[in-house]
Amino acid sequence: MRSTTLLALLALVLLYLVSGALVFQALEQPHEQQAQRELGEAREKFLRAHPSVSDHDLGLFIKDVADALGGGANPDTNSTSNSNHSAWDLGSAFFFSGTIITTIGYGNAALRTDAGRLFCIFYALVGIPLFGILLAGVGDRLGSSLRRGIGHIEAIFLKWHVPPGLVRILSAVLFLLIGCLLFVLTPTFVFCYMEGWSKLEAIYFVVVTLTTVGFGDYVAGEATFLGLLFPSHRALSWAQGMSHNQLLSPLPGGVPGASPNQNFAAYQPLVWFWILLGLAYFASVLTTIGNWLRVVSRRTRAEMGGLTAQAASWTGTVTARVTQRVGPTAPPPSEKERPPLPPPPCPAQPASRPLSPTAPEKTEPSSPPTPPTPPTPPTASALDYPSENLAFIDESSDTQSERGCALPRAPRGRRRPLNPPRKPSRPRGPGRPRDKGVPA
Amino acid sequence: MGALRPWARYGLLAVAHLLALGLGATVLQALEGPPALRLQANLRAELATFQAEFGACLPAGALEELLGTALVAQAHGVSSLGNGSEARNWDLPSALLFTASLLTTTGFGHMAPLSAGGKAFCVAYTALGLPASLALVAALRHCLVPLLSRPGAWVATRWQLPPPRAALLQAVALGLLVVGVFVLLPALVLWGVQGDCSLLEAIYFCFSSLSTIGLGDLLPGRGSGLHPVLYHLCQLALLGYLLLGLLAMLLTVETFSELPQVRAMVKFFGSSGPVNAEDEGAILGQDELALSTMPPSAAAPAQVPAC
Repeated sequence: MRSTTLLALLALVLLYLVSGALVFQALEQPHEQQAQRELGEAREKFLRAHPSVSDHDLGLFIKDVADALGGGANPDTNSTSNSNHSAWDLGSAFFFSGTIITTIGYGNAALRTDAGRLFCIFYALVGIPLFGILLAGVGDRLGSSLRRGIGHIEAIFLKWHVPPGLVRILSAVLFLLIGCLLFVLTPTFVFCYMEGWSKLEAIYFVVVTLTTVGFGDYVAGEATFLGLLFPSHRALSWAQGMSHNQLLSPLPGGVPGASPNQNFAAYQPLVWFWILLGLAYFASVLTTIGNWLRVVSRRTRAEMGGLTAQAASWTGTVTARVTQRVGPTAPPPSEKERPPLPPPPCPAQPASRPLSPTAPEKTEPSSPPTPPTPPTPPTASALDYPSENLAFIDESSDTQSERGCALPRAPRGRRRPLNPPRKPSRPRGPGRPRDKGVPA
Repeated sequence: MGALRPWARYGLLAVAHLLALGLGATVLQALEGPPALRLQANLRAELATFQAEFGACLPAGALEELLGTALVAQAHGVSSLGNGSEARNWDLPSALLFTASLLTTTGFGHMAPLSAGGKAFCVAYTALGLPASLALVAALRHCLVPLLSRPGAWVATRWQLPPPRAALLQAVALGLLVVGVFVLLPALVLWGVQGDCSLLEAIYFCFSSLSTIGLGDLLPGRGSGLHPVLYHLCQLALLGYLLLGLLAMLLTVETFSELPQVRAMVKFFGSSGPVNAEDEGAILGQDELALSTMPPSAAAPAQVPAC
């Protein structure tokens, strides 16, 4: 990729970062101030109502509780029914391992021991690549079965004489929509019901999870500590993840936090399975789109390169003709462009010689006697073989395509020695028209 | 092993995955369960003493109500401690760190949008911003990996090493360099600067940030009552570290995944018979920042080359 493109992309992303920060600040700061104020008021009210409790004591106590909850403790005073609950029972530990491997990392359950942290590091070092391979495999399966379905639809589109470029865009959109339906919308409704979240919160959770961001302010299937915390006050919906409105007015207004998921043992594994499928699906979609874009850009560059070569050869032709008329003794003005060419033998036939000073690989007739001809095969070949162009081409073949598409060799030549060490085994496939002139 | 049918291979991979998860779960449970229970007991004891001390003037439920509100607020990143003189959550450097954690999919979670507008914007922002940052990462990888392979090539020619060995050496050297510069060094700095965390905790934090897991349970500078300017500098430093470190990590992963051994393993699990070259390349070539990257070049041996 050109460095200008890269710099532009970098600038764009940085700009995006900063503008996002500004918008978030504008949206959230007022709320934060309000939440902080309300919390302060609640605290003040408590202290006023219970003067025997000192501010300092209360502060320490809250800090301890918060720390403990972060470590997974459950400060349930009526501990008869919930004494067996632990943040690290097998199911939750399984879920935690899962969030490590997928790099989601909710953080709602935090590791406290040094041994645990050390183990986590090594576990992640092995687990993340392992999961990556699994993701690749699952995405492979998902992608190919969906693609077959979409292939049928594409065939229909083509029958309706929709232009191929548009067909590709439509199928990409379709891919995305089906994915969204299956892995975003359906789980949203499921979580709405199971967790008692609002639609926005559920979709927020789904997006944050599937992109592996994983803030942890909402976690599906987490034993709701606060719901278990005060079972006698279930009517006050303190369940983790309750909506902001409920936070401000904790009156019985909604489904309590002890949601049905506590009784449904397969809930967490199902959530995990959904994460896996959703991740695989969107990864494959992103790759698909990325590859298509790359192909389009390469094709455009190929066309531009072909046109450039065309223009250069035409210039060479004209120059040659001009020098011929001047006389064989006159030095060719564009000598530096034509080192490999012998001097034209006969002044009567300068144009018939295939003058391609800047593109020695091109064997197609590139210097027609009538210069303003339509673009010849190098550029046409890019369009004649759409299926090949639209196949997925790996990144490093970028340089190869540039070699094969008749760009000036000199500036690219230095790249060639790098390729063989990196890719020792590149089987040459059936000859492609673009390769005809390339002595690979 | 190579004679296994594709389905068997997938099954093997899935089983291995489940076993790994199970192993992690049991080990973590063994390691973390007892301390959590002890903490729980401590907490209960403390709650009991608090209520014993102040139970006379505390009506039932008042304390729970306050605690509930405070803790839910904490889950969303609003601190109930202090009187608000410490740096606000959503000032510009913090917001920048937040958006960076969004775009890099790290997601520390120490701050999360509270308002409905914030959440909706978060969804839209991520949906648009992630592909852009992925494209950027792909572009950077494309540019920088050839640069990185030059020392390897030089060493290979100088010492007459066979290419596979040179590639392995280069990958390992790069990995060690990145680990040293982006994990150990910052961890040491953090450990030295911030008194209350051990070296292991600092390493753990660096690792979890760079791998985009982002548990966020330890975040430097938080709650330590720093001067606001210092706090902001801290956050900007963290931001820079996150972005640069991630880039380095990705380059390392890319270099490693181009090794023939790794590619063979991916191919072993990834091939599923006479699949379309299209599909193979699509799936084995992810650009996700989730470090589940297997580069498109991994599919090169099986593909018809473009040119």
